[in-house]
Amino acid sequence: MRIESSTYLLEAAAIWMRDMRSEFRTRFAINAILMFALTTLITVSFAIGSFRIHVSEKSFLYSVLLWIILVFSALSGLSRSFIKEEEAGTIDTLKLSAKPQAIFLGKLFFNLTLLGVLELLIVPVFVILMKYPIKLPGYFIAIVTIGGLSLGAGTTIVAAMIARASVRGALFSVLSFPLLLPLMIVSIKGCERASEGVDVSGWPEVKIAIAYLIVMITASLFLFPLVWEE
Amino acid sequence: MKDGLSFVMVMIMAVNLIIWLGLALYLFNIDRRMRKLEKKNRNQRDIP
Amino acid sequence: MNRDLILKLVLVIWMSLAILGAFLIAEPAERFPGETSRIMFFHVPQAWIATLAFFISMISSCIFIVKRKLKADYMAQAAAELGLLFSILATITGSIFASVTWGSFWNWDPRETSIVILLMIYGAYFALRSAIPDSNRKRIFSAAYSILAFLTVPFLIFILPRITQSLHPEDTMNPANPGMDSKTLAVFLGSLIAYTGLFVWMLRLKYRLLILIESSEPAFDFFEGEQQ
Repeated sequence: MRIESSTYLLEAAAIWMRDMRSEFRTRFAINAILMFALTTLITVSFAIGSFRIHVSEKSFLYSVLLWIILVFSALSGLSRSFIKEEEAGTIDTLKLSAKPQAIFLGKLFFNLTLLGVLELLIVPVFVILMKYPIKLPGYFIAIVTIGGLSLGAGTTIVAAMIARASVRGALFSVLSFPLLLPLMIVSIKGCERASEGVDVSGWPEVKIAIAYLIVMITASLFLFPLVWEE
Repeated sequence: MKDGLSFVMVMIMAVNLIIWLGLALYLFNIDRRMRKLEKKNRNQRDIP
Repeated sequence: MNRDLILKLVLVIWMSLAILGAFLIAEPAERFPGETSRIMFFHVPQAWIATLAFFISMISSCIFIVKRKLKADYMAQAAAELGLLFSILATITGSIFASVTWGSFWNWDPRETSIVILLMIYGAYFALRSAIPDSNRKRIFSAAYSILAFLTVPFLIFILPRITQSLHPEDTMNPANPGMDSKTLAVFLGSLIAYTGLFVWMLRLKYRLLILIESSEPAFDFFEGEQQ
């Protein structure tokens, strides 16, 4: 099996662009994700208030809350990429148009774009609104970025699996969660450390997150053709 | 604990044993019923 | 068949002896209050079997994906069911031990967390299986998921111990360094063997059952959503 990477990337980019265009017109997925994130964020911020939590507790609690918001927003919207194909009946055409790995990459890029928008909007708002103290901004940004990428990497193949199932939304969350757990643990810990300013030489959490990213993408590239061709 | 087992512990042990023996009987039962069905399948296949 | 029967009878007696031994022969560890450490004779083998079942299920899934032998999927499913059962048992016995020894049912230390994660993986596996009506797709997808889940396990093993403090009696239970006297060790190993035997027996029963079901209701995979 000779992998012609240039053709793969071109096909993947084409699928990605096509998804971006159709998403730009209807904005279903990004709306769902952003609405969920904003609602949760507002609820959390309102319930906790500015002065309820002692500063020493903030770094730990807010890391957890941030990632809960990010992960659950992702779980609410990322399955759209495949469900929309299923609903529009375009699955068969898609199967003919590109190699499976290219389709996976295209969908992955699309999901990553959605997540990128999500994080760009929600993370700063969260930090400002909650007065989240961050002592190591570089490390924080690194964790959030890699964590976001890994979030997409872990969930895209699951989205493909559940596209035709019955209870899609719930099933997507149920299946994704065990896969995402190591990532969540590491990201929360990393954000907590960035917030406290603890010594992070060697960037341990970022390295683990990158390893997770690579493992998930590789495994998905191997398994996706099976899932895709059923 | 050389002074012997308390009554509660002996009870727990007895319950454990009863549960286990009940489970074993149940498993033997399933085993037997499955063997009968398997034999029936094999016979059905041999005799067209 | 006779040999099987003898083996099963031996297992019944062996497990009974293990139960008796756990209470009558072995002496409870001193660091734990009263008789509570006796539960370890049952809790640890259960947890061990739960992970063993996970491995078997994952390897069977790999075999199914590569060779597409239906029996491999049966084995994966059977192992997953038993893995779920033993995970639940391990969680319950562990929780009982924790509440008696340390005063709280649940503490999220690494071992407890990992057994919960195992439970979630099994739950997700069966949710996936039951949500897909087409049997061919169901088998492939659940095999793929099983492999993905397995890939996250090394991360957990690596991460969890660094994150939380452990209440778990690590040095007592570490097989490389038993810290148990010979009587306790003997009962422990005996229980471990008994549980493994029980697992193998139940696994084969479930496996045979799945084969029987297949032979009586042949699969119609032509049409989607058809029988089985």
